[in-house]
Amino acid sequence: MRAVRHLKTAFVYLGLVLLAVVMAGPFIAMILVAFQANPVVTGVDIFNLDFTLDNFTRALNESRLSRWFWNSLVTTGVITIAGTFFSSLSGYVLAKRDFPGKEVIFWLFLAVLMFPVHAWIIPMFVQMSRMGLVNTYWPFFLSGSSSAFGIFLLRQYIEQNVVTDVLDAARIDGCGEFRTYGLIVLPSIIPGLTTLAIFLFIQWWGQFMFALIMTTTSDMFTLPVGIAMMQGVARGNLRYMMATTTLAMLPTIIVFIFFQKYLMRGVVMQLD
Amino acid sequence: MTKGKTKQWLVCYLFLLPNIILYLTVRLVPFLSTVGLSFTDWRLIGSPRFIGLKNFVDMFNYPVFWKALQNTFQYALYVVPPSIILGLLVAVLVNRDLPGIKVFRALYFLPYVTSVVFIAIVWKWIFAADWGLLNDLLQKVGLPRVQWLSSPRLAMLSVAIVAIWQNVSFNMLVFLAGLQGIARDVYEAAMIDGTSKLQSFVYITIPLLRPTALFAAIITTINSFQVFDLTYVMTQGGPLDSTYTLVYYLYDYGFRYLEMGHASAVAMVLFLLIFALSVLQRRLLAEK
Repeated sequence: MRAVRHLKTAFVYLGLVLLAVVMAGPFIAMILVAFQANPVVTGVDIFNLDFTLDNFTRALNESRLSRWFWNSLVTTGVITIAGTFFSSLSGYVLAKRDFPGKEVIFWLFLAVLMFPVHAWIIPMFVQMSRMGLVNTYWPFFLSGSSSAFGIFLLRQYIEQNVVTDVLDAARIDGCGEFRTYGLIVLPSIIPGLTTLAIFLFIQWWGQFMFALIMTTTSDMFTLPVGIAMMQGVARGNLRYMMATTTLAMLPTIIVFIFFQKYLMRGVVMQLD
Repeated sequence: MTKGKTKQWLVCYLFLLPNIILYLTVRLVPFLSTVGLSFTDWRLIGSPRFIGLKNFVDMFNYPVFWKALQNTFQYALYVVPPSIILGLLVAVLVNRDLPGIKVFRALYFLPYVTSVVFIAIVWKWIFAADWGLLNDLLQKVGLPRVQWLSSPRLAMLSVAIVAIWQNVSFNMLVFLAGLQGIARDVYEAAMIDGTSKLQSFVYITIPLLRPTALFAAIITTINSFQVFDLTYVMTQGGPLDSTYTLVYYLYDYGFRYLEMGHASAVAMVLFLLIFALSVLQRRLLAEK
């Protein structure tokens, strides 16, 4: 009986490892190639381990990678901070306060959640180009700083994690609405804020179609657009392309390693 | 008292102001403009000219529109069922307490987190016909090379494989949450009644996971209808338009040919498709 159980566990681990090869294999292959010192003639070459950092230096020197990196960092950074902040403001009053028009506003947000990019991008592009804002960071800031998903996430999180009695007590003590928000609400929803910030970061770091349309000069490309435009996945420059892609993925992977728990929780919160 | 109340309300609106302003200016007004533009002829020069339903009539007369629509449905058909079934199976596999299980869960979740464009670049190499990783491995074990991305017959399937790989990653987590929400005593009761593991999976787990599966299926379908990043990088809609989908069609008309009216009409068709799916989801979930 015991032996059977051990055998079963062994099979489970075998399955887990095989699946890990499928799910993580492409990333491992990418990293192996990125460190190769010699040109990769066939894919199988990647198993002859070499080690060099040359591909990374070349990736940084020979393209506008650092410029694109900067563009992605600024747009994603501002969106992450502003989006989390604005969502917490709306989430708080929608969760805890009563005022006329609350339902209508809530439905407005709900409706917005259903508009996919293509349903608003054409007029937005026209408007942005009339205002001379194409090829600036502004379309990103304006479009990303409001997150319907974030409003819902934080509204729900505040409903569940902030005690209404404490808010009432603060009000009786003469604490203004903004101080209540800053001193009582914000400190007690930090996990919720972190979850949302990570989602916004991941979403906008990879945002492609929007960035492709709103940037036309290579100076203003974000990483996904720049890399898609290089389009040079060819045998000759494979090492260099994979080094470029590895660098582009690095921030996401770092965020993933440190905040994995929050991310998984965020997915689960969408289900309720 | 009323004065105090009005002041309190104003503060609430102040809290909502950033979101309301942004939503009116960059979502609601542009969305309504898309609706309006879909009835006009407009190439960015001059002002839009009202032409009624002509954009839609034109669209339905273009063979390439039907090709794009058909490809979009085909893609969704390739992607959705495997993503759901595999997602559930992987969730069952990782839904146990074993040492190191969290590491495996994290590894399986990685594809969902990484940006589609970067993933597409890596897979373009994996699928390359003459020097790609997959074909080299196939050759090593004595199998023939496959034209993954360069054959019109296979290209859509290859793109779908990447999408499945990424969607399984997300659906695994959704199903895992669903599985962990099922109370343990349900299974214990079944065990006492002499039910086998497989029986309790089929008769208890699957019915209880129906809402979860529905959620995963609709989300995956909605995302599949909007495929663009993957095909843009991996195939540019080719070969022979075999991976040319609706969003690609919209992108070409709007941002290559600058026919804003026609592109808006395509956007409306896509929007209605997705809207119908969302309504369906709400209906089905409300039934539960």
